[in-house]
Amino acid sequence: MAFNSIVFIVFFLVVYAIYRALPHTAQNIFLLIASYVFYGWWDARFIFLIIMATCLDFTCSLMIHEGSITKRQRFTISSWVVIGAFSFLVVQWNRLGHEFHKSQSVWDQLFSWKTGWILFLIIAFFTIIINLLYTKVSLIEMQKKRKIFLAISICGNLTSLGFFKYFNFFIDNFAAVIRSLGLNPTSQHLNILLPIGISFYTFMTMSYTIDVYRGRLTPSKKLYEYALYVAFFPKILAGPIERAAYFLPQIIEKRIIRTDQIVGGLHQILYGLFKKIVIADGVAKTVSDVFGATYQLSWVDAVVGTLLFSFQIYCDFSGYSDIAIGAARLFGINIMRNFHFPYFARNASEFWGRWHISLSSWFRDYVFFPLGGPYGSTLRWIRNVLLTFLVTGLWHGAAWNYVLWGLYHGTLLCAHRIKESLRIKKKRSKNPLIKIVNISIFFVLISLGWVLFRSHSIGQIKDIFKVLIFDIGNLKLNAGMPTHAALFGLPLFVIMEFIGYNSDGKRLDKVMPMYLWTAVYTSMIFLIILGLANVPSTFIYFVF
Amino acid sequence: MMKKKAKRFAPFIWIFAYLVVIDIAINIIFSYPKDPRNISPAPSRQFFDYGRSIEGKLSRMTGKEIDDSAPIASVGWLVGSPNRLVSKNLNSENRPVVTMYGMSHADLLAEDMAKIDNSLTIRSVGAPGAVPTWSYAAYLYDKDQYYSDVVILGIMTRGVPLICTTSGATNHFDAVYPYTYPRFFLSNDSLKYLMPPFVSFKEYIEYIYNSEKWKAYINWLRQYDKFYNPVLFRKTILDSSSIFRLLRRAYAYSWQRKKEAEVYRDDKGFNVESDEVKILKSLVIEFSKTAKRQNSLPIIYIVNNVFMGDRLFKILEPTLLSYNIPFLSTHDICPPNDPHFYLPDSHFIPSKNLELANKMIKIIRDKLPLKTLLELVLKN
Repeated sequence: MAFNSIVFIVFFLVVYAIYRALPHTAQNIFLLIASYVFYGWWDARFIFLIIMATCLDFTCSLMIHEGSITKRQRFTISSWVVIGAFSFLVVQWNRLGHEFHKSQSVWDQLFSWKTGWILFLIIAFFTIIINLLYTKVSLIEMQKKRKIFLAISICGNLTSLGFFKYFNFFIDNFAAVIRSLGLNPTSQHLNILLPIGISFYTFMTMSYTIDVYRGRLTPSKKLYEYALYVAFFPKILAGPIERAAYFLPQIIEKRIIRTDQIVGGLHQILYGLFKKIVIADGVAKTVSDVFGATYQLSWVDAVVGTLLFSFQIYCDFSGYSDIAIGAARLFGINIMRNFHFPYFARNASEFWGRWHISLSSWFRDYVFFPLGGPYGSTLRWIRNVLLTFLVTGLWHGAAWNYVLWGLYHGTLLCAHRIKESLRIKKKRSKNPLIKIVNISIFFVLISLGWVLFRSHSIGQIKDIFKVLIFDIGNLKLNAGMPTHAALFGLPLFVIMEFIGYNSDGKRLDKVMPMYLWTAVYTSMIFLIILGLANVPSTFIYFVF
Repeated sequence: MMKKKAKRFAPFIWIFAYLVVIDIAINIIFSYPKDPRNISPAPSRQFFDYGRSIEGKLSRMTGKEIDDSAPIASVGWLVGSPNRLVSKNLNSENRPVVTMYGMSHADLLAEDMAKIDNSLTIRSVGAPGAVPTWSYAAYLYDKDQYYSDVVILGIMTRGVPLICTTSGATNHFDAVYPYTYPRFFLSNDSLKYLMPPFVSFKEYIEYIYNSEKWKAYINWLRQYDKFYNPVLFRKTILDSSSIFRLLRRAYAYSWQRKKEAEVYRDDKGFNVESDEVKILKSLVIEFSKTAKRQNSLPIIYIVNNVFMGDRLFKILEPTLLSYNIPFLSTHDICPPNDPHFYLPDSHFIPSKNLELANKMIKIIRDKLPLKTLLELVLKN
């Protein structure tokens, strides 16, 4: 159920209509159910994974903060785990969409997965054991208990993420190393299905426990409230990676939905749809032609492919974030800003303050600073920056091109910091021409980085850079052209971004007369209609 | 209070007014030519008209006579189509006759074969965007009218998901063709078909200008054509709105993609359990058996569309080998993952088409029964 699908529009309208009619507590419970339905639309089995992550961190946070859990809370957590295991491991919801074998009844097939039953029994057994062990665990000394439960939370989250996302990467590379030694290892590659959005919600749950441990957050006492923080459907698939300290109070307190919030939400949804449907989907085929080409690329192919991918990834991801933030605002919930005109950045430091802000701030707070941050010797902070960006690259996917992309950005940031520290005159030039030149140069650097990100292999990276450097002047375009909608939409998009950057992200209706901003919005609506005939592609960040 | 409310709605009124202006402006600037015989309106005019309903397109292109109709209205009919039996080289009827049945790719191959080897008499029976069932139906009708030593059936990847359609009107939304063909289905593992209510241009005119008959035809489509969709087919007042036309086109794309995905997906290839794939395999076997009974040499021409890999070849290969059916698959000469070998309209580039034609002639020479070859040598 992607944001740009008819199913989602129907889902959203139904959920919103019911939501507005409910009292506060019921609103939260209903939003949680809707969020699970939304997530389970892809694969219902993965709802259990979210329930497990939720229950694990809810338990750990309470143990860290309070040192104990009430009987009622233990019962609630245990019930969620057992009912969740039965509902999403034993019952095979995904079979509902397929044709049933005529020889078996519907019930037989829904409950026929033996492994599901075995897993359910194991989970039920361990739930009982953990409950029995609780009395002993609660007697552990408080400081020790805090550390143990922090470790349990981090290990649990990283194990789940590591298994689903990185198992094959490490096992394949390990096998390659062994092969290079002349041995012949048997392949252990598993066909693991990556649960959509796992990187996003795992980081949210981890930050929650760490913040509770650091004393920056009082944990939620109600499981369903915390579960809603984890699973809230506008942001579950691709963020923003929201912090509980900002989000949870909005869940706990009664929400008042102001007209301005609705208008702002609608504006943001419209702009998000424009970015996704008109620009990202409109240039997708040209980009695929270039990065999926089996023929010799020309220089203009490589340039067009690289530049258009810069637009595609930004419009795809920030488009998703805009729709997510806009949709949340309609429910009266404010989510943090995830993008702030990143292509107007003049250096790496500024770029990471504007690009995927929720992720970069996460890594800053939970990786960079614990490593020592910008303090200590130059070599030390260079190490910290490079390590942080190495992990940032790996977060995007288990492949070497992401590692290279992360290191590339780390290097850009280090280079910028060194350049800044060497500058005698600290004041930045206000000459607009210099500003434009700086923005343009850095945009080119960012775009080159996207080649690392988008390529399938190290070999392809080499090939594209070879064409970019040695084939200058070959202007034969082999790749297909972007759609009409994208060709008309790109200039409008650039103007919109420019206005947004200059007005610090203010809505168009705040900076333009009504006849003008409505004309701009009409153009966007028209181009969206034009772009709807594009082949819709799934949001790029869903796979991270 | 009233003023405040009016102010709240003002932006919506502005946006609505702008949309109306855009709609009217497009209809004036990019108006589609009224003359159905105008076959090449500007691309921009075509672009804003793609979303017109199928009925709207059909009624605009169809006059009461063939001369008052768009040329595309009269092509592809199984019976009496003026484009039927377009012989590429009929200067000697005694020579072995090769007949090609299929879409434009097959027709272009026939043209090049005629250029290369004038010792063959090459005929082409084709329809734009012909699906495999059209080609087979055309063969079934043609075989009784004209004997061919070699019969070639053109099949392309894109055509397979459309096997359960019955008309060029339902299978290509952007550019519709009114021609019809039977609906094939499998009954107890044997291939059967249902004829559509009309199969010639003359009958079609009778139907489209008679509301009762047309209604009956729509009912038939509803029952038997998998790609019939009233939202896309039926003409309404909304046809006059350019914005609605764009919306309908977007809907048509997503709906057709969904239907096609039941049979073929880029990531997974063909769904071998689908009716379409089963019918295709059965159709190839039946074509071969019938041709052999007629003492004709059957050949399958497999056109692997760009970016669709050699999946069509892969699903047909076991059938072709086990029934000993000669074939030419394009994937060896024009790798589908290399767009350099394809023109923007999906046909092969001329040099590669020529290469394919050469290969087809070689297959014919290799596989033609000795008796026919001897006759050819003696007559020449």
